[in-house]
Amino acid sequence: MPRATAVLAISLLCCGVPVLRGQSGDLLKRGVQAYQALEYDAAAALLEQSLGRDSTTGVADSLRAKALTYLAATELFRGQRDSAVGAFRQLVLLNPRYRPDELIFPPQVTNLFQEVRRATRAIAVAVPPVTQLRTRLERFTARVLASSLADVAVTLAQEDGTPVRELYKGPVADSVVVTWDGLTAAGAPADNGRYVLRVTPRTLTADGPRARQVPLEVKQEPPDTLAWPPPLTTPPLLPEQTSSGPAFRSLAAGLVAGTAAVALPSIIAQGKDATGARFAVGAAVGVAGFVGFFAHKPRPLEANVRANASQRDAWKKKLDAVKAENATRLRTVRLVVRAGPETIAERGSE
Amino acid sequence: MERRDLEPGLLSVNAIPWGSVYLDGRPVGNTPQIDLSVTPGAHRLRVEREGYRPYDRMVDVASGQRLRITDIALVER
Amino acid sequence: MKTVALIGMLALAAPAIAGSQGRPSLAFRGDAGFVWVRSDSAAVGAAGAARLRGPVLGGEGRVVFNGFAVGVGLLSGTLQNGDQTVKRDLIEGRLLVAARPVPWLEMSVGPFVRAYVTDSSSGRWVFWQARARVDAPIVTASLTSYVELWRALSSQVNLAAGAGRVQGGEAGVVYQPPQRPFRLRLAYRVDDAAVRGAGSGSQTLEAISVAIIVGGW
Repeated sequence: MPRATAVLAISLLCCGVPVLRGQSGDLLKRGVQAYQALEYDAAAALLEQSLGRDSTTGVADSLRAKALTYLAATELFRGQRDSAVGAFRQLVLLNPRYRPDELIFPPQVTNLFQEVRRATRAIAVAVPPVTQLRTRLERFTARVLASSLADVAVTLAQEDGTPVRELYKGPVADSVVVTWDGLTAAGAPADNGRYVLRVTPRTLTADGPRARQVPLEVKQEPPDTLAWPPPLTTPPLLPEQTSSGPAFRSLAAGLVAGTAAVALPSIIAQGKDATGARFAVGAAVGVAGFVGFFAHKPRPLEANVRANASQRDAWKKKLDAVKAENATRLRTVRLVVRAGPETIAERGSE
Repeated sequence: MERRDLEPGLLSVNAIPWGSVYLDGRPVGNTPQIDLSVTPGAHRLRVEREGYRPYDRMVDVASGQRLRITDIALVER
Repeated sequence: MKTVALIGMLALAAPAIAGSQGRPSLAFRGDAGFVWVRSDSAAVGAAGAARLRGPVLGGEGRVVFNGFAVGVGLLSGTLQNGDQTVKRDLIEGRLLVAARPVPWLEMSVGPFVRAYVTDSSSGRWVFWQARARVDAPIVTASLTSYVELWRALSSQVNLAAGAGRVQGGEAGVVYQPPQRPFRLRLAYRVDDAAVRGAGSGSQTLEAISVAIIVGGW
C-alpha cells in the first residue's frame, strides 16, 4: 500500500506540473484580455497569478517576459508606478535584450521601460544548444548581452572550477560575441567532460548585475577523413601499346602451317619415303610466321601514353590534395559542445 | 432640467495598435483613455495612427453612463 | 551421272551469279613446280617405274561472285625415273565449285582427273573431291598461310585392281608484295591414291610449286 501511494503521488506530481503550467498560460491569456478591456484590477490579479511564486507552477520562461510587460503596463495605468518599475526591473534581469512591443504599448509604457532598463544593470549569455567544431579551425560562439554598459570577464572552467581558459575581458555596451576555438589555455584540445561558461561582472556591487553561467558538455569525436580517389584502371586509361595478340596469332599461323607441311606425308600417305620438299616449304612458312610475329610486335601508342600521363597527373594531384586534407583533419580534433540552460551563478562562485 | 441630466458620462477607449484619440475633433491623448468625462449626448470619436485607417464613429453617451470601447482594432492601409 | 551432278552444281551457282549485288570477278593462277610420284606396287601397271619425277606447269581460272567461285584447273608435265629409262606425261584437270561460308574457310567440290600417259597406254584416275581449306593471316592480308585437305568422295581408275581411298593435302604461304596487283604462293602438296585388289598398293604424288595469282580469290 505505501508503495502504491508513492507511485500515485509521483504520477500526480509529474502529470500535475504540465497541468498547472497550462493553467498559468490560461491565466496569462485572461490577464491580457482584461488589460485590453481596461479592467486593470482584474488584469493585475490574473497576471500576478500567472507569474506565480514557484517557478514550477508559473508560466514558462518564454512567456514570463510577456506577463511581466503586461503587468508593468497594468500597474502604470492603475497609477502604481513603483509596482510598474518593479515589474520592468524583473523583466530586464530576466532578459536584457527584451523590448516591449511598441505597437501594443503606448509611449508612456515604453518610455518607462527604457528608463528602468538604463537604470538596471543586467547581463545574460546566449549560446547555441549544440555546436560542432574542428579545433583551431572553427569556433564555438556565445553572445553576451547587457542591459547597460558593463565590464565583464567571460571564462571557461571545468565543472569543479578549475580554470580552462579566459575567453574575453572587457566592456559590453549592448552585446558582444565571444568565441572559443576548442583549445585550453595550454593550446591542447579540450578533453571530454563537463565545463562551465561563466560571464562575471568585473566590478561586483550589491545592485550590479549578477554573474551568469551556462553548463557545457564537451565530447571529442574522431575526425572524418576523405576517401582516396579510386585507382585508375583501363578504362578510363587507354591502352599504351598495341596488343601482343596479333603477334602470337601470326607466329601460331606460321608454325601450324609449317608443321602441317612437314607432317602432311605422315597424315596422308603414312609417311612413306617423303621427299625433303616438305621441309623447304615448312621452313618457309615457319619463317613467315616469325616475320609476322616481329611485324606485329607491340608498339607504344604515343597519343595514348600522353593522354594517360595527363590523367595520371590529375589523379596524383587529387590524391595529394586528399592526403593533405586528411593530414589536416587528423591534426585537428572535432568537438561537439552541448549547452545547458543559462542560470545565475552563485555569489560565491563569482 | 434635472440635475441628473447634467451628470457627465465616462468614456473609456482602447485600441490595438495604440493610436491618438480625438473626441469631437479635439485631441485628448493616446490610447488607452480611461473614464474621459464627456457631456451626455452624441460625440465623434476618432482613433488614428500613421499607416493605419482611422477609426471614426459617433458615440452616444448618456448621462452618468460609463461607456467602454475597447475592441478597436486598427487596420493597416 | 557425274556430268549431271556437275551441271546441277552449276545450276545451283547460277542464281547466285544472277543475284549478285556486284559484278563477278575473275582470278587466275599460274603454277610452276616439281613433282615426285612414287608407286608402291608393280601392279599399278601403266604408272610404270616406282619413282618418277619432273617439272610441271599449270594454271587455274575462277569466276568469283558473292562468296562463291566456279573454277577450272589444268596441270601437265613430263616425269622420268632416275636413269631416264621411263618417261610418262602427267596431266591433271579439275573442275570445282567453291564457297566461303566464313572468310577464313573455303569448301569446294568437283571432279578431278589425273592421267599418266605413255605412247602406248595411259593410267587414268577420276575422282570427285571434297576439299576444305583454312586460311590464317600472318601479317594481315599481305602474308597468309593455309592448309588444305581433301578426300575423294568416289574414285575410279582404269586398272584391273580398282581404286581405293584417295586423299591429299596441301600447305603453303601466300604473299602479296606492297602495292602490287598479284600475289605469290609457295606450296607443298601430297596426294595418296590406294589401289585395291591383287597387287594392291598406293600411288603417292608430292609436289612443290610456286604460283602467281592475279585477281580476288
